[in-house]
Amino acid sequence: MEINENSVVRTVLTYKVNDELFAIDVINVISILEVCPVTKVPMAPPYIKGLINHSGNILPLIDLRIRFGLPEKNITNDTCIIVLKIKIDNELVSLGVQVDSVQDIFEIDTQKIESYPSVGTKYNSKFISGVYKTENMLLILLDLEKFLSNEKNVLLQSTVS
Amino acid sequence: MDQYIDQFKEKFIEEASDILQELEKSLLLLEKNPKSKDLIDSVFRAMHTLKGGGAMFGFKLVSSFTHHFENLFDLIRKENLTLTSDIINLTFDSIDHIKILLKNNEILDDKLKNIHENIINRIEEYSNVPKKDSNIENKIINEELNRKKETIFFIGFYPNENILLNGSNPFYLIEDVCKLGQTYVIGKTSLENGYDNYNPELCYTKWYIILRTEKSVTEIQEIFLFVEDECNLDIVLLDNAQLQLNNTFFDKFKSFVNKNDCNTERLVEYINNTIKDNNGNEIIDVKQKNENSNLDSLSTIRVSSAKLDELMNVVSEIVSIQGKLALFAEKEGNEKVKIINEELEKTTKQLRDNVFNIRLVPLSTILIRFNRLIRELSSETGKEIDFIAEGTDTELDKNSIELLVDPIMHLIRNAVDHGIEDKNTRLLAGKPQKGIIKLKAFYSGSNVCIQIIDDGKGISVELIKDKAIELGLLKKGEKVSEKEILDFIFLPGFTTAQKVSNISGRGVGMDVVKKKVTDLRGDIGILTQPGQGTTFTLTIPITLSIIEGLLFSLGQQLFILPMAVVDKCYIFDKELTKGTLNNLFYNGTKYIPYIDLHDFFDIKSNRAEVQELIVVGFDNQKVGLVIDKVVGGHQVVLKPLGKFLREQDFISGGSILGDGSIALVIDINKMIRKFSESISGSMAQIV
Repeated sequence: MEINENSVVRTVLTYKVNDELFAIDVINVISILEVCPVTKVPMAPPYIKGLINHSGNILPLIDLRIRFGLPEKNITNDTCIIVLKIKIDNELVSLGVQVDSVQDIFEIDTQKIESYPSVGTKYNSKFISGVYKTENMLLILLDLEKFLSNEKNVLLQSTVS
Repeated sequence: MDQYIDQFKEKFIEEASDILQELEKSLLLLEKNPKSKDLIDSVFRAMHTLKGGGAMFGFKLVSSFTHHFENLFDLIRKENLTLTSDIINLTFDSIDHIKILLKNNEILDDKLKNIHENIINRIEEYSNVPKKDSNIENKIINEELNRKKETIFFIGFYPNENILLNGSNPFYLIEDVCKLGQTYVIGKTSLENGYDNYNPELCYTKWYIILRTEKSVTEIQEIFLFVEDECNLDIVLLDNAQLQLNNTFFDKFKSFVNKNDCNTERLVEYINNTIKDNNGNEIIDVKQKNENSNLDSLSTIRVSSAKLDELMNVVSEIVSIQGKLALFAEKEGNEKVKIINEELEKTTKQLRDNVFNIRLVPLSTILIRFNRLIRELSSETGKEIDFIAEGTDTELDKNSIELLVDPIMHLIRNAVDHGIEDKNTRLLAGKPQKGIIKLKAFYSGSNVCIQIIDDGKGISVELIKDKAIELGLLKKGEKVSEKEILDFIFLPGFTTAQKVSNISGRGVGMDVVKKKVTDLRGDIGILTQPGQGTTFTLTIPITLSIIEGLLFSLGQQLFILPMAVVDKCYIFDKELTKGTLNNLFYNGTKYIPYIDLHDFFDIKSNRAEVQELIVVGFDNQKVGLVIDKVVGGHQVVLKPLGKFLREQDFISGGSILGDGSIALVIDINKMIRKFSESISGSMAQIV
């Protein structure tokens, strides 16, 4: 987590997985889609739901719930796909991420970002770049780049819970 | 500002490598024709550009180094010094050195420093003795470039009226003829009974074609092979004197055809007469041609391949949007929409083909490296070798071409080392002293074939067999075909060379060659004749991103198999598999192992009532795939699946279908390998 005197405002998109509020930088977001037909890939790991056609490009769709280590949930009206372009292992990758719902666009003051405690918490702090508190809510800044680049054993819930 | 300079530097390096490549090309030509003033000038100019550019962008070493060279070639240019093969060798060394200098702008280690000074000294030696020495001149092989012999044919193609009824399309035939060389085609339609009795299913047109080509009559005849019975065909070899195939001639020819009722004899007579009239203009025409080729080289632009990829993406998007429209038009049944869709379809197809074409580059772009390789190997081994390249304007996907350089280099190296014998052996065998290595490229359907042919001693099948038995790959007395034996050389670590040489024989390589070629979805074949030589044939798809595929359904989803691997489709009848072990399917002549894709892919949805089976070729074996239903052929624009699905490498990519859904393209080799891993044991004997 870097705190820089010069950096002031970051614009983030907030989304919900399992009633918890997460945030991602809007720079990485390409678009938000409704749930669309998915082509399943045989023998793919369960968190890869399949492939989607995003304006002529074939993108993998990752179910964040399963990737977090949560049970699969039925698709609701709120279920959304966020199309992202992020750097994974130094390679720009486009992908779709399925979340329970998309909430809001939000400006946050970088200096108010707090670090996430590494012990005794619900989530594995390795993948969380910080938390941001407002009057009535708590935003978790998930480091998707780190989180998704780790190939195996990336349950968000840390073993010490 | 710094970043701009870096950018410029990058550009310069890019440019410099181009210049160096041109330089190499000129030098190789110079070697054959050391007196050509044009070539010497072009070398001088290239050096000069390098020097100037180098100085401008801070490549001081490159600049100062090339300065020495420029001087040397200036002397040659002014005829104060004669170009010798030593100087050419020195120049080649220097080009390599400049390449190194471009990478490291400073000389850091002593070794490099020594080389640097050594070369400069050598250059100085030559530059300081500006004397003519006529003896050295003789060392240079003075050989004119063999120009391929072109001949001119007149082809009269007179189809019968009902040629169209059999589904033949004369236009395709004519198109094929046009591919053979420079052509001029006139079609003449005669409606004897006027439009009232016109029957659109009949053909009323005759075609007269003038073709300038290197091909033989048989090759022209081959084109018309399937319509032989439906047409009269005359192919006449015209007077070999230079016929002026220019517009004036064609205009005359056309008006002659239009005015007269022509048969072949009359036309040939007419053309032959014209030739005699025309001989005077020739020189002017050649000059014009030269100017044109200069223009050609100028009218190219450099585009980063990332931009092309982007363009390609957009185009594929348009293709799939058009597919949507087609579907909509089909459903709605609105005639206007249908017409618009048809127009759009035509244009999008054109657009797509054009964009894919941009990615294609001719084989000649990598040729220079082979030229140099042979030159070096020739001096290293003391074997004299002529390198002949044919069909180098054959085009391939840029990515494929770059990936092919190493395998081809390796094959050439092998040909020189193992194939071509030394001088004495050759003379004893009654062969010319000089060995020949030929690189031949040509189209074959949607593939490009590249052959590396040598006229050396060939590969000894017996030797390989013995070695295979020695290594335990083969049992003594086991019956195997020659092809199967030859395939052993593609196994890692397999070599029959008695001693390891500098160039090859370590047994590393052929397996890598095979792997690289298979990675490009290509194939490699060997033909060898003891004492006559060996031919390696690489068959590579023209582009990696479009393939012809067979669409089939499996559960709710669609999959695609490359058409190239599909052998036959059957209705899958469980009865036929009864009484056999290990999933074998009897096709009437023999048993074929099959894989049930429902089970293998763990697809939960229901099976079709009547399932089908696709037999695919895999490593010379046949394997059946049980699927639900074959849908049909499909032009596949292959798209990668990205790194998340790297583990699923038996899916080589996806393709977006007309309705926007995605079909997965199966890589049959990897899939069967995966299958055999998952079953390991029961399937092992098959694969």
